Amino acid sequence: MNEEVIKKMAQLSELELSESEVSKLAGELNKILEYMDQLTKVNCDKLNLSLHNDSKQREDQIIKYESEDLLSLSKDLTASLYKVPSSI
Amino acid sequence: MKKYKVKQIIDSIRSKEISAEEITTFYLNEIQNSNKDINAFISINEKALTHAKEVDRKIANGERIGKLAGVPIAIKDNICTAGLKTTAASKMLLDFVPDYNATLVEKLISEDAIIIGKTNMDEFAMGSSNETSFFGTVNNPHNLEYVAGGSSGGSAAAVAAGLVPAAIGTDTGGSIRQPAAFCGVVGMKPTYGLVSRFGLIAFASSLDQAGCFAANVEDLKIVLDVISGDDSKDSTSVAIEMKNSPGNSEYKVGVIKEFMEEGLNDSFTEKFNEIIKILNSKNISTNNINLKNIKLSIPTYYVIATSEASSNLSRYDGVRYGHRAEANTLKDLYRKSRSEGFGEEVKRRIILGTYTLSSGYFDQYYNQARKVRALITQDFEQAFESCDFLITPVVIGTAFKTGEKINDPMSMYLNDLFTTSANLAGIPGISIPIGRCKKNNMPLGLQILSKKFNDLELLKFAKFIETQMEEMCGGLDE
Repeated sequence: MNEEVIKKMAQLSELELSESEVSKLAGELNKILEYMDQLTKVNCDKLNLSLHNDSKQREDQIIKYESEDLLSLSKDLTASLYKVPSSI
Repeated sequence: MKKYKVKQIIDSIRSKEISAEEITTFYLNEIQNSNKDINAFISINEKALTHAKEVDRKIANGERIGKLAGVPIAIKDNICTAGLKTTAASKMLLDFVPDYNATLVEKLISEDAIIIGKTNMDEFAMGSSNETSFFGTVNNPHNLEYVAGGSSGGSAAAVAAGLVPAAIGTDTGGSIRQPAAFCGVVGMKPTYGLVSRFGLIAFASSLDQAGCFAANVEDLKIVLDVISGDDSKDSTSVAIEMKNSPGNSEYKVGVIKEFMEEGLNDSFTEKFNEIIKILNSKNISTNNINLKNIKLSIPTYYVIATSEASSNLSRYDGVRYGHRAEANTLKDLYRKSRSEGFGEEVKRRIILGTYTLSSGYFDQYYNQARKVRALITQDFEQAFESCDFLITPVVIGTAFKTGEKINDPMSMYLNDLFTTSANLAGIPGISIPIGRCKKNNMPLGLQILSKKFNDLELLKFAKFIETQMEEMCGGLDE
C-alpha cells in the first residue's frame, strides 16, 4: 500500500490527510496488511458462503416520526431544510 | 470505600431501609470526588436525582416499581440516551443529543433504573486502552498510571472504583471483557442478538454487542436479564428462552491449547492451574481443545471490523448532525468536517476498511475474511460438541502503563488476541477476576466462553468459579 494508494483511499473515504499523515500511515498500514496477508494462505475452496441474510423479517410499517429536536441538531437549518454550500 | 451491590440496593430500597434519592446522592458524590482522577465519566445526568425521587414517590404511594428500582447505572457514551449528550468520545459528536433512547436504555428506565451518566471510551469504540478518547484516557482505579483498557474503559473503571454499582458497555472485539479484566470487575459480552443493538452508535454491525459490568456475577445477571430480549427495531435480535441444564458435576471444560502457547504471565498461569485443580477436584473434567484456525482471529477480525467501520462511519458528513467545518463547497464540507471530526485511530481504520473493500482487494481481504470467520465459527461449534465451556486468558498480560503501546497500532491490535474470536463466532464470553499479578499487583481475568445462547449456563458456571476463587483467596480486594 504505497502513498499513492493511501491518498486514493483517503479520497474515497472523504478524508483529507497531510503529507506527514500519509507517510506515517504508509508504514503502519503496511505492517498491518502484512499481518492480514496470513488470510490469503488459507484454503477456503470447500466453503460455500451465501450472501443470503438470514435475519428475521417483519411487515413493513410506516411509523410517523417527526421531531424538531432531530432537525435542530444540524448546524445550518433554514425552514426545516438543511443548508449546505453550493455543490457546483 | 463503601461499595454497594446491585442486589443489596434493590433489597434495601424495597424494604425502605434506604431511599433511591440517598443511593443516587451517594454515587453522584463518589463521581464528583473521584472522576477527576479516573476520568471514567464524560457527562452526568442532571436529571438522575429527579428520577430517583420519582422512584421514592412510587414506593411511598405503594405503586408498582421495576426490577431495578433506584439502581444507578452508567451507560457507555456510544449508546443513545434521549436528551443526554452521546458523543462516542469523538469530536465528531461533541454536541450530539439524541432525541430517542437505545432499546436497552428504554428497558432499564422502564424497570426504574437511574441512568446516572455516560462513560468514557475509545473514540467510536476503536481502541483497546481508552487512549483514543477525545476526552482523554481513563485511568485504572487500581493504579492511575495504568490504562483501564478499552474500549469500554470508563464503564469498567467506574464499577471498579465504586462510582456506580453496574454499567453498560459494548463489545466488538473484546471491549467489555478486556477492560473488565484490566480493572478487576466482571464483564460479559452476551451472545450476538441477545441484547438489541438499536440505538448503539454502529462500529462493526456484525460484531457489535452490548453487555454489562458489575462487581460480581449475580449483579451482572440481574442487569442482563433486564436489557436482553427481542426487539422489532433490530432484525438481528433474537427471542430465546435461556435454558437451565443439570448440575456442576456434569460440566465439561475445554482449554484452548493454542492460547496457552502464547507466553502468558506467570501469575496468570499459576492461577489458571489452580482453577483446573479446583475443577477436577469437583469432578468437572478439563481437556485440551484444538481450534486450528483460532490464530487467524486477529487478521480476520481487523479486516471485517474496519470494512464495516468504513461503511458505517460514512454517515458522518457534517450536514444533518455532528461536527461541521467551515467550507465553501459541498465536497469541502464533507472532507473538512470528517477530517477535523475524526481522530487518528478512527481515520486509520476507515482508510484500512476502505482499502479492504475496494475494487481488486474485496475478494483478497473482505471475502476471504468472511470465509475464515466461518471456519473459526465451525471450530467453536465442533469444540462445543465435546465441552460446555472453554476457559482462556482474557489478555496476554495485565493492564499496561498509559502511553506504552499507543504509538504502535499493531501491538495494540494484538492485545485483542483472545477476545475477538467470540465476536466472530457470535458466542457469549465473560471475564471474571481471579486475583492479581505478583509483578505489578494489577488484576488478572479469566475468560469463559460457551456456545450461542448458553448465556444462562455460562453465568452459572462463572458464579461457580467466582465462589471457588473467593473461598481460595478471599476475593480480589484481600
